[in-house]
Amino acid sequence: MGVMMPEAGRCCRECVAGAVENPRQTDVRAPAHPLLKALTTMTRTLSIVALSAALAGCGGSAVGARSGGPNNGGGSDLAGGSKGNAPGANMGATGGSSGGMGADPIAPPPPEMEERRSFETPRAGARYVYVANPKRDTVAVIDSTNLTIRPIQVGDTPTYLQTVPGKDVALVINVGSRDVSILRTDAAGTRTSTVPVVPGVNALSVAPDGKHVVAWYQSPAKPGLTGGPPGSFQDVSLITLGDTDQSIGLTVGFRPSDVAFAADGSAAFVITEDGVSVLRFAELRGPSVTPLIAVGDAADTAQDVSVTPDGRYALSRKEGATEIRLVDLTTRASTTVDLGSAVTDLDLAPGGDFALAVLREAGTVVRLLLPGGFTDPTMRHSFAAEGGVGSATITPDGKAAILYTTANPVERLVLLDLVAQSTRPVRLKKGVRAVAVSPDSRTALVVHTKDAGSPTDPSIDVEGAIDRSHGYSVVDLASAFAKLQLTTAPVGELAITPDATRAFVLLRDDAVSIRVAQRIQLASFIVDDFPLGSPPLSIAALADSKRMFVSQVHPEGRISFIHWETGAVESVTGFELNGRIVQ
Amino acid sequence: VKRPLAALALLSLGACKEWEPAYTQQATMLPPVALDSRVALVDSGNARVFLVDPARPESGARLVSVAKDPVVATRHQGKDELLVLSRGERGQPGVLPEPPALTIFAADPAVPPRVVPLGSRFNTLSQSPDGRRLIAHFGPSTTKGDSLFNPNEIAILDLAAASPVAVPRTIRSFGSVPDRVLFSPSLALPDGPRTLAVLLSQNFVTLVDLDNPTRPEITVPLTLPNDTRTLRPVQVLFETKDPVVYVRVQGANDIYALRLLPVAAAERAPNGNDFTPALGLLAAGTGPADMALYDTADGPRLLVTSPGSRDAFVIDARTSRSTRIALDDAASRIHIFESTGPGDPKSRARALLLGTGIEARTISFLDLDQLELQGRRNLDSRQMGAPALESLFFPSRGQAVVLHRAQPGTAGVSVIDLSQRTVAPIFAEVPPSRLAATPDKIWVGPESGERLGFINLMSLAPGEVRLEDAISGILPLPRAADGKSRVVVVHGGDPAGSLTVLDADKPERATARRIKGFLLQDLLEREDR
Repeated sequence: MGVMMPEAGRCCRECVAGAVENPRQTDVRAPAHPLLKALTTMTRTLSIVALSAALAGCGGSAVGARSGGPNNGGGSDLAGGSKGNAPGANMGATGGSSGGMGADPIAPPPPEMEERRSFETPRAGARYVYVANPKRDTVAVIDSTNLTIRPIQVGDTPTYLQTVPGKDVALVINVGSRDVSILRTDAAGTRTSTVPVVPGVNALSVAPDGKHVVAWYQSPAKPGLTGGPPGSFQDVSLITLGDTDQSIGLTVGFRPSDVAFAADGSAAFVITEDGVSVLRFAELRGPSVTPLIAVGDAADTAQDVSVTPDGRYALSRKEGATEIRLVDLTTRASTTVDLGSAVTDLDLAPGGDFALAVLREAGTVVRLLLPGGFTDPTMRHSFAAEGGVGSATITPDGKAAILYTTANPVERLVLLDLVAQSTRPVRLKKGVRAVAVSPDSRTALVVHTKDAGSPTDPSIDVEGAIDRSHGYSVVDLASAFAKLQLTTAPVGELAITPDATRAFVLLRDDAVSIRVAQRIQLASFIVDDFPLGSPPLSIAALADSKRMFVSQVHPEGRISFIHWETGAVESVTGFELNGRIVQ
Repeated sequence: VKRPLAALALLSLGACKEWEPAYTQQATMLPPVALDSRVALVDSGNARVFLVDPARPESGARLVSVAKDPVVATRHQGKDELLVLSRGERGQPGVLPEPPALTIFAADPAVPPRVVPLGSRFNTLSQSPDGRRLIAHFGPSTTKGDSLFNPNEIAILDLAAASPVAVPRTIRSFGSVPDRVLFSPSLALPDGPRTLAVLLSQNFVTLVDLDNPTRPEITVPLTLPNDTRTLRPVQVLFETKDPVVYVRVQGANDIYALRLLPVAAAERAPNGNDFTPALGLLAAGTGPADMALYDTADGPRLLVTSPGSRDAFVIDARTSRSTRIALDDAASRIHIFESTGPGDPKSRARALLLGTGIEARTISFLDLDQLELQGRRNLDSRQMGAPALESLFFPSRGQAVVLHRAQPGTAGVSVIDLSQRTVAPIFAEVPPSRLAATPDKIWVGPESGERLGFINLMSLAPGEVRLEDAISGILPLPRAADGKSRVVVVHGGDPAGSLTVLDADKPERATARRIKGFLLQDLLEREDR
């Protein structure tokens, strides 16, 4: 609400309003700035993932946006996502840079932030939920239609589990036996097979078509989080799923950070600090060193890389740099363009035909057609987006983008219509922490920042209470209407139903025992509460049974299934005990 | 209770070891059973049932023989009948074997007893609340049987059948033996309404579809293999519409909720069950001691009291959500009732929580309306003079009666007014040890002595009747043949049999009638004398 510096908010709104009335298009001539996030969006899937992807990638899409990627569970973890984002800061506290947020040359705003979710959570197939139990060497397969649970014996210490999007197929890395178990479930039961993998892998990235999986080592955010050093940072296993599952070991560039897949399922691209390792499946006959294509200068180890869905180009930026790069993954030809101001976000369109570069300090968003926009200035178009906008989220249909900043508590979004080439402001009541867009591109969900202090402090007014509350806004992208929903606990993971009719968010505050799943009707913006028995961990949709599953903290394991139409809730606790029921 | 019938005869004939006359045999009496108008006493040692009509004490007892070695005598629920489970005779030199059997006696002497042979020598009988279903099984303390016996064998009987037969079955076991058998009310299951038997055994609960006895039972473990705890399921509640079986387990802090979910026809095994249980562990404090179900606008809720953590929990089994309500004192019993409350003229669902068998001296009233929202604001506590030993609940009268643990100078009994929330102490000269209830009175048996106390529940006026012998049992007979309500006091100290019959409406020594010696009434006529 900008209570500390109301004039600043007013100024920003005026700037945006001006942009709406007179959207400026200019050729980009100036160089750009570095980026923070490492990402691509070449293989987005629908629904949940699309929403969580956008959410997870404030300032663009994140690893969690990947279809079947290592962090893909259907939801996005927002908890802790404010780290580095000074969630308690407001404009007054940061010196009150009026006008263009982040334009203060003395105290530059922090970088735009993305948020990640934890890995060790149940994963959803189409009808079944899979939960690894490392202590019992089993995976519990839970039928969301009748809550029956079957423990399936797998290898030693199954720890990292991933599902094939839209299918009742799961893969789990057995850390102890250094292999991957593949579980395929139908009404008749679950069949398993096992393939060996290279030691130390802790992440599985699944191709959208479900035919290939890359097992790789994902470096922890902090050393020691995975309990020991891997054998190598550069070993991956490519698993081919079929009548006979197979795997081969491959060597890639140093320290992979992500894996993307070609939309046609022909290749995988392992993003590493050295560049992009290209795994063209048809060409891989056995263990080998995969081709590595540099996407930046040799000294650049903090590249954020996206790969176009056709697998032809890699798009990269470096944090703080004004220059962005396009690499032809076939010819290895590299092209750069200097946008003249630090690029705080670079978002690749779902179709891969263009990218948006956000220049926060310049108050500009640049649309570059690919690949021509890197060489032909006429294929670059600038839009005024003043007021500290530093991030962009392109809607799944590629026709619009939502511009915002997570670096400062600016209470505003800008809707950029990429077809009409116009902008439109959306006034919010709180700062932006993350933005998610429904797969039908009609609704956005904006998770807000929270100011420090208690919202019930009697010395503050309503505005102050709002600023000090947790909450989110639901935004109708066609009308720019926004509804603020305050919450009693931080907004955690969220997910959207595959039919895009409803969204769910998790609220959790263990100190005051708040454990709630909220359902948001995307047609009416009406919100319902679903109290939970235990603190929620993750949420995802099960398309076949029209249920959301909410995994929760419980020593025996607990999941609640919420029918997204009827609101009926069913819970199951004790996965192992349930699995041992004999009939 | 074993007593010599004729000590003199025993001494004179003691040398005869192969045949022992009846008058030398010790009477082993099973606990007396109250029928509508009669008291049944079963002499286990002589395999005879004595049916005494207190309205006609002069006519003596009606004697009926049963199969040998009767071990259980109980009233047939909903019927004026007695059920006697006999283990039969294994046979020995000079003694022919006799099969085990269930004998069904009607109180009406015109109706001949029905005998249902049983395949095995069971020693425990469980029946459904409506009296239709019966399961004979082996209790957990079984130490004798045939040379070999299977403790997991049961026999299922449908007493509604014209000619009931015992259907034998062996329950799947993982090393445990059924401890108790309970019966569900009619549950709304996919194939239609159904009654389940719930067999409780150490660390396991087993569900048996009584309407489809050929379908396999469902065995639900309560622990994982490496769990060294010994868990004993002790209480079961049923939710019938959207079926859930709640199991309280001694040794566990969670309530086990088994939601019975439909199995799609395409996924059912041949002759498989049409439902499958989904287990939910519901957190309920420390050492849950009682649970009760009640309805809310948002669906049914389970109320659990846990004396170990001095709290109560409201649980929504569908979401597994528990709401804790800290109590002012530990409670181990829950009584749900509907009444007005102080300052609340509307009749609403409420609960009385009290501690029986524990040191609690505080009772709690919980207004169940909006309890999850209101929490302790819906709690109202009252003090009692002494810890409770037992409680009787009369929701239709708006009263509860608490029998206190014997403590000098404190109340022996308290009468609780559920609407006014008053606790009226009634002092006792001799510590009371047992309670029995008739519609308008509470009968209080003293720990020692011959004075039977009673409390008029209308006026709370106490009274007493001096009897001739010490009191070992109080049996209210709700519907005597002459329409009067009577109370029969059993004097267990008399080996020949001794009862005192009191008019429940007007209990006085002057009108009390004594029935003595009925256990010996046919001694001279018996063939085995």
